[in-house]
Amino acid sequence: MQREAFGVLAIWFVAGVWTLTVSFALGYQRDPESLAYPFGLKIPDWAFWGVFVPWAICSLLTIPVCFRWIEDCPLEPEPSEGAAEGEKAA
Amino acid sequence: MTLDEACLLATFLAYLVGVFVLAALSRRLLEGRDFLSEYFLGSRSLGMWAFAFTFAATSASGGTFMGFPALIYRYGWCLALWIASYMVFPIVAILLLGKRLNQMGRLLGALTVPDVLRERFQSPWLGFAGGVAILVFLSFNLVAQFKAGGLVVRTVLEGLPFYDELCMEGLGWVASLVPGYDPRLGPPYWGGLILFAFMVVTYTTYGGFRAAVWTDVMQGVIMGLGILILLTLSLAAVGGLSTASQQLAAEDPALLTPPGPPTGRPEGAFLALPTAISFWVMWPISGAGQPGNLVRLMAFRDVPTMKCGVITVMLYYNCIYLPLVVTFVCARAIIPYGSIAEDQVMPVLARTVAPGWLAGIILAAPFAAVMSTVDSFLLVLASAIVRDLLQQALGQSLSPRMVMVLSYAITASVGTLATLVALDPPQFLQDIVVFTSAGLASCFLVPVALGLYWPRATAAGAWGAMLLGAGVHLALYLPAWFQKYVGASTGSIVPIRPLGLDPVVWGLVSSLAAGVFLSLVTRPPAASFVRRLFPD
Repeated sequence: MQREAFGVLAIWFVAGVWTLTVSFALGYQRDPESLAYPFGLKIPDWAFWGVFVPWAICSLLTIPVCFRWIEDCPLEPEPSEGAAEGEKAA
Repeated sequence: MTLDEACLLATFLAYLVGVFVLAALSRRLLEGRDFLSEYFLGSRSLGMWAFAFTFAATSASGGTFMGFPALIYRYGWCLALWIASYMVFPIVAILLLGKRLNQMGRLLGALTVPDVLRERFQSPWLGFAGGVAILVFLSFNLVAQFKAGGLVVRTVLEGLPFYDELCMEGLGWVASLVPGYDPRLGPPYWGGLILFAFMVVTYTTYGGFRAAVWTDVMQGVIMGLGILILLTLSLAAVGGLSTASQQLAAEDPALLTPPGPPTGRPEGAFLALPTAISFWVMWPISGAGQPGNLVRLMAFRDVPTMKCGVITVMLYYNCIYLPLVVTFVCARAIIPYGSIAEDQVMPVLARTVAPGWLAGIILAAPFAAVMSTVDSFLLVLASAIVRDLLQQALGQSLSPRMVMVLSYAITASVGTLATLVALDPPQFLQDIVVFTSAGLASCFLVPVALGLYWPRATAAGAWGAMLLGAGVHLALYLPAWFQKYVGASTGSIVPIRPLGLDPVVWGLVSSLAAGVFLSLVTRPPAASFVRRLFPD
């Protein structure tokens, strides 16, 4: 489970690097006159590439993360050895 | 009363009836089950929809539907970056700790987060300290949420003749309780507050955790519906997003890009890069450390439920956060800036673009958001008092019946006390919400995470992580609170931000450093105990 927790932190980190880097490069210190609006969606390009696109990727990524990567396991505690022997005797 | 007003009121009343019906149904499940486990944790049996919606609805508070829209309306497109970390919020806040916390909670027989700390680190005083921390931080936060609830009800009902008459004629006596009250928070606000408090305290006390969860599902659906309807109507009203962006550019080009327009505060523009980095940490990481969220992670039924829950919460956030950004960028083109108070933009937009009955559904969304947060806070607070403080202090001398009576009485008393304080709330409550949420995360996230994943983590490490995390957080806020206390500052609370980063970042980093260092220099936990908790 430690592996899964570190994987989750890695997703958070990579998504953060993408979002902050792209938004900084395309949005900060930008002349608003030069903004583009990709694919006719009327969303400023910094927000489109820096927020909307990674958001969509994270949404899609959630499915394989949950169903391929996070392992199923029982949540109820295993009965202790003593308890198991007691049940057998009963 | 006009037809539109009647429709709005009818929709709102239908929502309230739904809440009480769900509370009554959940009450029936309390009978015949272990009282504490059912009342505070829903017997650890939440299915996918219940888990997903209660998690999502608890995370979305009044701020999501009142404060966040106000910020978009004021600062424009840069709020897309401010909220961007919600793209990973479900993954981080659920998957980081969820499976292991649920498993450990069952293994240790824990019902609350301090329970987990006490049993994992074999330290009754650590659990006690956790209970006190929850009590202190959440009490302040609860008052803020009650105030938000009162304001939302006032916003929805003010102007309706019966409500105005009721407040002006029936609530004059409250003025004698709160002499010198803020005139902006007079009888119409008190009416909203009392109505809100009566509803939420009643159904939470009556039905416990399951009532909170089931109403969260209904409230979550209403929030999602409300936002999608408002998005569609706003886009139609403004003539498309293109027109809205053009309007923003004409008003102030800074509304189109980060860091956004200037705030008038010392830090300059709204979203400087260090602030954006801080929010990337604050929302998902500190969200993972909130006791209200952690307790929900202890309540789902099995791992497939958790996985489906993550996907459902992700889909749900897709329907909420970016649509909110687009909607309130449009709002700036529909409602001229400066013509209304910023925090009224949500209800004003709903009433501007939607007919009465539809406005009723939309306006129920912020109300539902506050309710779903408050019911969770009430139960976390009540469980901290009953389970972590009273039961630990009094031990076995409390009979099961006494525990039940205490649980009801304390849930109702906490709600009543918060209502009384909220009649004349402090002015800077939004700052208190940020301060307390970040404080709880600095206090709990690292000790819980180390306890769950690191066999070598010791009680000394957990104490160090909790105290240093909370201490650094408090120290960075202290000068601002002191200035506020002595009257040297009348604006909002601005903490010290080394390198421009928010106190929550420094609180978490110091907490982690202290937890690891103190665990390594103290004697490791007994091998037999570690084997029981970490069989792999």
